[in-house]
Amino acid sequence: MNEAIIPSIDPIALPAPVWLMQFLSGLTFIFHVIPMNVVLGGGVVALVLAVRGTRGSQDLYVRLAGRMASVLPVAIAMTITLGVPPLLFLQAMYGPLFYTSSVLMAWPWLSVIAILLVGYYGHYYFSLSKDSANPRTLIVGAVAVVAFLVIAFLYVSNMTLMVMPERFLGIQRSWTSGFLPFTGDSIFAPRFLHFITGAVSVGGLLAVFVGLLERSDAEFKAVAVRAGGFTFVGATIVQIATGIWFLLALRPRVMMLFMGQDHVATALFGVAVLLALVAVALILVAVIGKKRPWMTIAGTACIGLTIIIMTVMRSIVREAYLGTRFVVAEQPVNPAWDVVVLFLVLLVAGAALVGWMIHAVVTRRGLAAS
Amino acid sequence: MNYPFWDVPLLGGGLVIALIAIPHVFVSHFAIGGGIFLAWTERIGIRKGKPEYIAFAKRNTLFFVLMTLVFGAVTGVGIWFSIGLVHPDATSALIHNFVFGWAIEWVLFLVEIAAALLYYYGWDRVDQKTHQFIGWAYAGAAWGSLVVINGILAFMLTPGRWVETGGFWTGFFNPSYFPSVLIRTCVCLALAGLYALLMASREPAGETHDKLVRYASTWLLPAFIGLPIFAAWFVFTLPSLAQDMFMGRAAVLTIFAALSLGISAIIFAFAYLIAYRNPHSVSTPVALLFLVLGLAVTGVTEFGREAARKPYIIYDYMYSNAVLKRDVARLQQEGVLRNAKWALVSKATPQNALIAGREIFTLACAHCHTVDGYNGVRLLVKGWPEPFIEHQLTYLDQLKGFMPPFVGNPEERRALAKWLASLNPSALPARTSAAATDSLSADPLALGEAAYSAHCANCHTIDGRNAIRRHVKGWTQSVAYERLGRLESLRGYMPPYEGPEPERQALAAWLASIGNDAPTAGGAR
Repeated sequence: MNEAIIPSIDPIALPAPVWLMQFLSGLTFIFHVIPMNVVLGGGVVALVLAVRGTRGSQDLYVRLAGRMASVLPVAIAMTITLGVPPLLFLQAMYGPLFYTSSVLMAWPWLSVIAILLVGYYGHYYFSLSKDSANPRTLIVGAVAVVAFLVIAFLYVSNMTLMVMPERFLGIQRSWTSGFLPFTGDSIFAPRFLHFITGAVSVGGLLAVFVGLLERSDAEFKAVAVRAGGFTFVGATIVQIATGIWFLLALRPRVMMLFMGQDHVATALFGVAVLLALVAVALILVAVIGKKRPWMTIAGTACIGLTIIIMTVMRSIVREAYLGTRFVVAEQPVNPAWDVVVLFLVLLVAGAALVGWMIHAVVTRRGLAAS
Repeated sequence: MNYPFWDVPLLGGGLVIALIAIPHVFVSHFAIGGGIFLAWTERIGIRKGKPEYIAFAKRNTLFFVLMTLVFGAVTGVGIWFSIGLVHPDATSALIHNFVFGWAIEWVLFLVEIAAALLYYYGWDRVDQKTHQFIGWAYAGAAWGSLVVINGILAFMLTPGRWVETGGFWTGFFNPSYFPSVLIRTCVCLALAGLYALLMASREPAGETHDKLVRYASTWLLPAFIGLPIFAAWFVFTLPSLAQDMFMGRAAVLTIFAALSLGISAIIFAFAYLIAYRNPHSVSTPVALLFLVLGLAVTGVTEFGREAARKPYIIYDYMYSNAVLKRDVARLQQEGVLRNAKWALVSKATPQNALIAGREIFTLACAHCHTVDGYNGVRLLVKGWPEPFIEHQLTYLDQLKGFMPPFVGNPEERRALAKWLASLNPSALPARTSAAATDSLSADPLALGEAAYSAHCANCHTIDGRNAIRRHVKGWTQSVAYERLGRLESLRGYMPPYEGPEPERQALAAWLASIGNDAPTAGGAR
């Protein structure tokens, strides 16, 4: 059953070079994971704060939770919208692997849609509720948070299975085929925990920013920055630990790429760890010291860079797992440049239009003012 | 056969897609119409100094935004998930050809989502001119996403010259592209009108109620005028088989087309006679009923449009069971099992016939059929003897135009027939004429008629479709007897007659008797 069966690639050639699709996929993936982490981790942190605040009668925690929750619906919209292109390009390039792994866990995979609706409406309720300490609000919030954790679980499951074609036939022949998510590899648990703790870190940062944007209430500002800052630092330290576990759980030949065998992979790994540590130090200083905005922005920038590097490392791991069994760059390509250029032009124009509209609404300066 | 198969018991994969796609189609058309409706209503309010119109647009913004952002977006992704699970080969083909089409649609969707949110949050934050601009950006991007996705949807039914030449634009601007985009635009406006009618009906009775109801009803006018013209144009662009199916070759499709027309007519009649002429009489339950009818007509029309594509999933390129048209001849020689990556056996033999038959069913049939549920094959073949099933499989595409040809080799066809026959073991004796012989032996004509029921009535009626009386007109018993012995040479698609000798005599006698009788009233048995 260890024979790797991989469906044949589609007879229709790809309409753009693989490097371009890899780039667009990675670029849009980065824009997807940032709001995704806000939703996942922001939801967890907001819920914990709301529960702690309710139990300990700490109104400021409840208020902070309410402010954080108000960001979630828009962040979900951004996550879904910005998640479309990475999934699109993934299907175009890795269809034989992705469709197969999806079919092998079909029911759980399809259930993502229903769970997403529950989480989405749940967070709308959580955020629109006037009273974040109300037990009903907390229960609905908890359901939404669990919903997004389950979605994360299912995504990690599918994305892990798709790079392990040697597992396909065994699962397809088992009676559970189509019914259970894939968890049967030693990298599953550390990979899942690594992403969850990363999201909680980002959730902490969200609380810090809610605090920094508060202008009138100094006490609220201090509580938010402190609670968010310590959440960030704690979660990032745990994340580094789960990252080491993740690294050690990789197939030895893949792990060795990051341990010196491949210079680029090793350098990326080193820089990512360093940036995470620098971010922890900067946020700690920001929480304890006085130069908060500057330090927080610098720390956040470090986390942003870490996410970019991690995205590249993720694709190195994917290619290394697949090895010669599926070489993505070896697919036939018949470029349709006119359509590609049309897409890029529209993307730039669309981004500019959205940017202008956001500016107009946020600054209340529109066409009449100009 | 390239991908593992997702077996959805009872429902079948097609219904799973439909359950997600039909609400999505309804909501997405509705949301696109909603964008145009909000921008236009606000514009009228500003231009004509009607604050009640502006207030009406403002009150309904959150609903349209939530519909677009949440339900529309999530079910849209849901369609993607479900088609990837049910039809990975077809999804892959579409994505390879249209990945940048989808990417362009995504850009428009991104603008739509952002503009919708900003339109909602901007009501009290920006000046009217800017707010109108954002409203039109919302409407324009929403309609633009329809213009793009319509190219891919229409492509599946009428790929036109793409099948020979390939290429993005050839596939995109396919024969049914323009009528489809016009039909969908009319539907968007009509659905937005139906929703606005519902909202207007909730206004307190009075002048504003009547004015808004009448205004909302005018949104159905473009569909009233445009749909008959564009629908006729659309049907004209369809492949002839699909046209035939609408015109009676597939009864279900004809019924669906009639339902679509009938319900649409009722909605338009309501819009004109009640909502426009007597707006004061429009109450919320009535408006809600017509919105539900709108959902119903969307459902039957989309279902019909999807069904019209049979036996293909991408017309003239890929059959519903993911077999490429160009591969059929090769597979009929080599066999499907040899080419199936995930099957339990690689060859059909007399020893493994039942296992091989089940696997062949999964590969060649299960994309459209379940065993016991939707389009369940157990009931479809109930009472069919094994040779008859094999014969049906041999001429599948000729006997049933909406089915693809059977793609296995002769051994595989036999194995599948054996497995299909095994689904109804107890029913078999009741349908054989041997059983009939016992009870009817005293009357040779009755025995002949029983033999006709067992062997011929699956394809023939007596006086109706494919009338047997016409075929045997003037035959004597000896002529009938002789021709029963060489049916397969009379018509290539007829199976050989394989009944016992006394039954053949009786059948010949019965055929001769009806061949020389006048038709009876209601004889289309």
